[in-house]
Formats: sequence, structure tokens, C-alpha cells
Amino acid sequence: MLEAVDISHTFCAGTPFKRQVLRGIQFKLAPGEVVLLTGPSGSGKTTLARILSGLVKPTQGTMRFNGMDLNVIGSRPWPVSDRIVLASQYPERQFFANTVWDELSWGLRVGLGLDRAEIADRLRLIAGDLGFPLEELAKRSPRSLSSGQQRKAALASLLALEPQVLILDEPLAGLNAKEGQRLISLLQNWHSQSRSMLIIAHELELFFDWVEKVAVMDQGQMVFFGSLDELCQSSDPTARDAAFLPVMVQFSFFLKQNGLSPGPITSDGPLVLRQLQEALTKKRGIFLHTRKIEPSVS
Amino acid sequence: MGNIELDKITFSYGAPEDEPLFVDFSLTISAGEWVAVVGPSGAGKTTLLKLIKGLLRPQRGEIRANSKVLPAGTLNHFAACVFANPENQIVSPVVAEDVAFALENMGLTPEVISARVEEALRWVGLWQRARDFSHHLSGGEQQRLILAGALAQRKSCLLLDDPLSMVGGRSRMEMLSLLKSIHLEVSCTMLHTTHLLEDAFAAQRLIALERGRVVYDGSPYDFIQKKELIEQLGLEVPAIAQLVEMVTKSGLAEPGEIASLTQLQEILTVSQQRKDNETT
Repeated sequence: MLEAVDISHTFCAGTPFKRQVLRGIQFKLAPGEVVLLTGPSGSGKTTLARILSGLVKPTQGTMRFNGMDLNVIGSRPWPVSDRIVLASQYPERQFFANTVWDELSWGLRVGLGLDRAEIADRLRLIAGDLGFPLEELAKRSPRSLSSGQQRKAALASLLALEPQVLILDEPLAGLNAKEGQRLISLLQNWHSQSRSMLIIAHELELFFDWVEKVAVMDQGQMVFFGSLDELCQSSDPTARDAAFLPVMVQFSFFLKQNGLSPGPITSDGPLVLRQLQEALTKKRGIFLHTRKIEPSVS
Repeated sequence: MGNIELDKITFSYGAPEDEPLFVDFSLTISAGEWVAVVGPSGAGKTTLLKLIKGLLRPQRGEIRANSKVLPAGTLNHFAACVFANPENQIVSPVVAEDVAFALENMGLTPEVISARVEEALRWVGLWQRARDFSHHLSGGEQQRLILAGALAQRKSCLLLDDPLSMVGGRSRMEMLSLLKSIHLEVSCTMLHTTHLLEDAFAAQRLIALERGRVVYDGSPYDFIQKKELIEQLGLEVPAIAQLVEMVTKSGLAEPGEIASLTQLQEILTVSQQRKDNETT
């Protein structure tokens, strides 16, 4: 269990450039849970991710991991760097090694101190899980791979650490629809009861039917934390506005709310189109009738 | 002012024996036109923009900007660029200074620079952050910052390479409508690449590229009828277009009548209220 207790953060605190970016964040990520974190640009999502992964020490508040207090003064190095892992935006831009193999094995060799055989085992395992052709690409420069393969390689180097908590900051940025879809199925496969994920994203379509909970941030505060259905039905328009729900979600919510469809509220395009088709089939006569008499009424 | 012509361009990144990306590629963009460029990675979208800016040089053929040939080794000074990685394009540690950088290089007076910096930062919604450190901006805000830097130059042509890839949701809509109003206001020629078809609808013309060839050139509205081509290019038909198509097919609306989700919902809501009235 990863827990953020009353986290606030100010950049350049005590200088004329100070800027408060997080205010009183309370957040829990239970084992096996997948949470989507969204909100407008500049709302503090990335800063929160950096704090949760130990890259930034918050100016106020505490972090707990499995009951252990992580922000005890002087507790450096970060005691859980192999268990809470952050895949930052465009992780492939951090490539530094000359070969894919060196890139992928670095964390295992230097970070965890594993021996050659163990490293090979872990990399083969994770490459298999991700469908990454490691044997074929091992000696290539990681920067010479296609964008989709680079993203996979970057994720493989992190997943090989076998973290309990994986934080992904905009994992689909720069990928096309197909590559994005592929990456999501990989993450779905990797997810298990003992592994939890926090996914920061602003294109929500591909995540909504998979994640259990949605956290919405706006201007440094967490304005919503709950299920997607709860978010749609939330009486707080700021939360819905900040989350900027996908068109399909908004529309399936509209159909349900107006008694045109029994639901569910979903981002699954084909399913929403079926809901609309059913509504049109059932009520087409009424719709047409009212549309036709429209001019005389107004 | 601002027309662009590519006349039988041949361009290759690799060795001479490699198959070039563009072969005898021709394209004309009229002054004031807004063109969206879509296509899978590797199609040549970014290369196209770089050729127009003069950052890359074709091995054969001619590029003309404002009807003047772009000589080898010179940059196209009619065009301002925004490329996909914002952090690689930010040159100053302070937000306002970053916007001012190009203007200083253009030799403008301090008064003009201050006025333009303020205007551009207000356009993109970053005026309040003018004195902040640019590395404290989020990814989406950095993208808005470099867009401000390009807008402040007031060139007759804007080349935008996936300019909103890190800008999400509400701010994305705001930025798109900002680009629309800028295009109206200063009537510059605009080329923007995107991987989201929704964004392409802001443009008047859509060009789809595949391996250096134009596979579609026409209205974005006609493009979404081409389902097989969309699939082949790895793109997705926007959700709103799918919903509108279904409602239009059922005879509830004329083609082109519904342009937004709100309108679509209104058509179905009005009917619903009427139905309630009828039953009571």
C-alpha cells in the first residue's frame, strides 16, 4: 500500500520565485489497484508522480509504503527505489547506453547488483511478456528502434526491476492509436494482484474501461477520487470539467441519464454506438416526429 | 504572402543507394491555407516541415516560399516552427525571455518585444507565469510556451509539428480554438501534423502521407468517409463523427447539420422532452 498523507509542495520555497503546485493531497494506492490520474496541464500531476516515486521531497506531508514512513529526514537514498518505479514522460529520451542489452540490463546490474545469469533470465522473461524481440535487437543502438519499440524497451528496463508500484507519466504520448492500444494490452497483461499502477494520462479513452479508479487534479488539488460512474454522476462540475471526459463516455452517460439506454457508461466506442442504435431503433418514430414539427413550435 | 510550393522534390536521409523518402514530390499550399498533415510514423510528416523551413535540403527539386526559390543553405524566414519536443526548443530559463529570444534576434525594439511577448503569452494562457522558470512548466505548458514563441514572431507561415501532443483535454480545446482565431486574425499559412483526426478538423485541407507519398489530399470531412484508408494509416475516426454519422443515417439530421456533442445531445433531448409531453 502506497499512501500520500496531506502532501503539499512549493517550488523554490522561501525565494521570490516560490510557486505552490500541490495542496493537501491525500491519496492511497492499494496492492493490485490501477488508478488513472488526470487533469489539465499544469495541475500538478507530474509533480505528484515525482513525489510518489521519491524524486522530489514534498515541502509538507508524509509518504508511507507498506506502513514505512518514507520521508524521515535523512532517509536517503530512497529506501524503495526498486519497488516504486516511475516511467517518466517519453522514457526513451533517457536512453544512454550504446546497445539495447546494456540499456535494459543497467538497472539490474548496477541498481540491484544481479549476476549475469540472473540478468539474462529476467530480461528474457520481461521481453517475452512485452513481445519485445530482445534477441534480435540486443546489439542495436536503442535510439535506432522505431518509436513504439523504443517505448517498449524503456518500459522493459523498468519492469525488469519487478516493481510493486509502477507510475507511468503519459505512457501513450507520441504513439499512434495502434501502438497505444498495443502498449495498453501489455500493461494489462503485466498487471496482477501484487502489482499496482498509477497512470497519468490526458487521452482517457483507452484506459477508462480498464482502470478501477480515477483521480482528478485541478490547480494543485485532488478534486475527485472514485470510480468512473461516480465521476460522471458527480454533482461537482469542476471535477468533470477538469477530467474532460471522452466524447463516448459523455455520450453514454447522456443516453443513460435520459433513459435512452440502460448503460453501462463506457468509453468503448462500438458499445456506445450499439446503445445509440438501440435508442434510435426504439424511439426513431418519436424523434422524427418531434424533429419535423420543430419549426412550427419555435 | 505565405504560399509554399514544393516542386518535384527528391529527398533521402541515407546513402545515395537507399530508397529516398520523397521522390519527385510536389505540393502547393496557397497563402492563408490551413493544412493538417496526418500519417503513420515514418511517413515523412516532420521531414516535410523541415524541408519547408530549410532545415533539410532536397537532393533534387525546388522549394519556393512566397513565390521565391529557397536557396540552398538558407532558412525560410517566412516561417516559424514548433517541433514535437518542447524541452529541446526552450532556450531561456525564464518564460518571458524565451518568447523574447527570437524577437531580439530579429532586431526588434524593446518596446515592440515587450508588447509582443505579453500578447503571445496571454494568447496561450501563460502571462501569469511570465517570470517563472521555464523548466518549472509542465509538458503541456512548455508546448504552449514554444507556441507563444512562434506566434510572437508573426511570420506569414506557421509550421507546427504535433504541437498539442502533451496538451490534454480542456487546454487542448482551448489551444485549438486559439489556433483557429489566430489563423483568422493574421491569416497566416499553417501546416500542422497530428496523430489525432479530431485536430485535423480545425484545418481546411487534410493531407495524408504514407512513406513519402500523398495518399489523400482534400477536405477533412470527406476523409473520414474513407474508413479503409484511415485504418491503413493507423488513425481513428473521431468518436463524435461516428455518433453523428449514425444519427444522420437514421434520417434525424441533415449531413453537416450536427457539428458538436452539445448539438447532438440537443436533438435527442428535445425529442425526449416532447415525448414526455405527449405521454402526459
